[in-house]
Amino acid sequence: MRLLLAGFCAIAITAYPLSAQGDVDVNPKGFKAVLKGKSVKDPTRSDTFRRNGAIQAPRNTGSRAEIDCSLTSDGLADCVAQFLNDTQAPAQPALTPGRVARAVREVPMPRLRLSIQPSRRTLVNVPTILYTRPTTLDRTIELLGQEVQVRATPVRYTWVHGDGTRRTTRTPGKPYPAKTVTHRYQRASTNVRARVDTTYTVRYRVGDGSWTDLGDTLTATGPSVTLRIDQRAPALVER
Amino acid sequence: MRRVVIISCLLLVITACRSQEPIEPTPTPKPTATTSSAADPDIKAPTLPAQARKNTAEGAASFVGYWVQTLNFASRTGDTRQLRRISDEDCGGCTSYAELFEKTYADGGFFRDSDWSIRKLKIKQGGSEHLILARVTAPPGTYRKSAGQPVRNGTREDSRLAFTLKFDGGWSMTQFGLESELQ
Repeated sequence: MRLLLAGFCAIAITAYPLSAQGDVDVNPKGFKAVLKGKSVKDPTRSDTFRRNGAIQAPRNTGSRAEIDCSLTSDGLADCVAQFLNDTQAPAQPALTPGRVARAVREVPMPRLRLSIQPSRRTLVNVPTILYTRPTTLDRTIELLGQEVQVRATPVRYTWVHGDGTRRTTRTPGKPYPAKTVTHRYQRASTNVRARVDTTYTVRYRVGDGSWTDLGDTLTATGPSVTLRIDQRAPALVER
Repeated sequence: MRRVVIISCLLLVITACRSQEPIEPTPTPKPTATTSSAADPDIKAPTLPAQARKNTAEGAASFVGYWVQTLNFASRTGDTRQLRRISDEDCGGCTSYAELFEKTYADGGFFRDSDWSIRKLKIKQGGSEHLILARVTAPPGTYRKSAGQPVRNGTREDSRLAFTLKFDGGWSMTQFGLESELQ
């Protein structure tokens, strides 16, 4: 409204200005309009695409339709884009290496369970055996109509002891009598939460294509196991 | 005779605005008190293309063209009813221009030969709204801010504007401003 009252002369000088908004500031100095309209919110930045309706969007979310149009003098539009009008089927977005890699990274890796010996009740300063049973992942996902085979192999195990220490090994450990991976707890506690986090190397291939290394590893955090650490006190035994 | 033509045009606008559909002039003019002597007698109210009724990319683009034509019509006649009708109430830019035209013609002023023109548009779809970016040009034209004032020359315009539309059984303009102000 200020635009129209205070700056009327300024607006008129340009026949009528090319931009205005509800609260437009006008600088009437020299009869030249200086318009500062309110910002226009870009609706494509906050919403996902509508999946139904005449204007088709790709099935994968996150992509955005951009359509170039020209107008004829009689007001008819002619538009050119991937997914344009009612008769044209939506174009299939390209299955790029980056898109495949992103999809592969979203595949959940196996979370390995920590096993403890002699039991979940152990003693201070006694070697507690830790191990897990490794699992490889072999899974096929569908991406933009194509099958992508994913294989993940565990290569590192991080033993989170629950007492503030951790250790990483390349072995998954073994049950008793082997003592491949052990830990000596230093303090008694009734509630120690331990786990093993497993790191995988991942390969994938599209269809019958060649295998491709993902390039980086993926780590799955294992479920926690609660331990009780007891302090065994020396006692004299009369014979 | 010229006045009769002016009256006829305005009446056509009024008649069309009463219907649910965008303006469609009819051949049954009646005199009306809203006539402005400064209104351009040669301009006809734009007709909504059938294409602009569709919820398609072409429909959105065609509607923007129609909206600009309607803006031009309002600038030449002071008749803003159709402009308001096809613009959302919350479209501040739309309202500003409507008020500008209404006041100018109420005061006996006018705008001439400064129609906006759009040839190319880029459409982005987001949610139920469409963002349209377009280069808009306009010749200098002439203007008179009120009766008794001298007729002055305007300046040429060439700007990039941003429009947003929504479709709810038909298109309506929800925002417009300079593209540089796009958030």
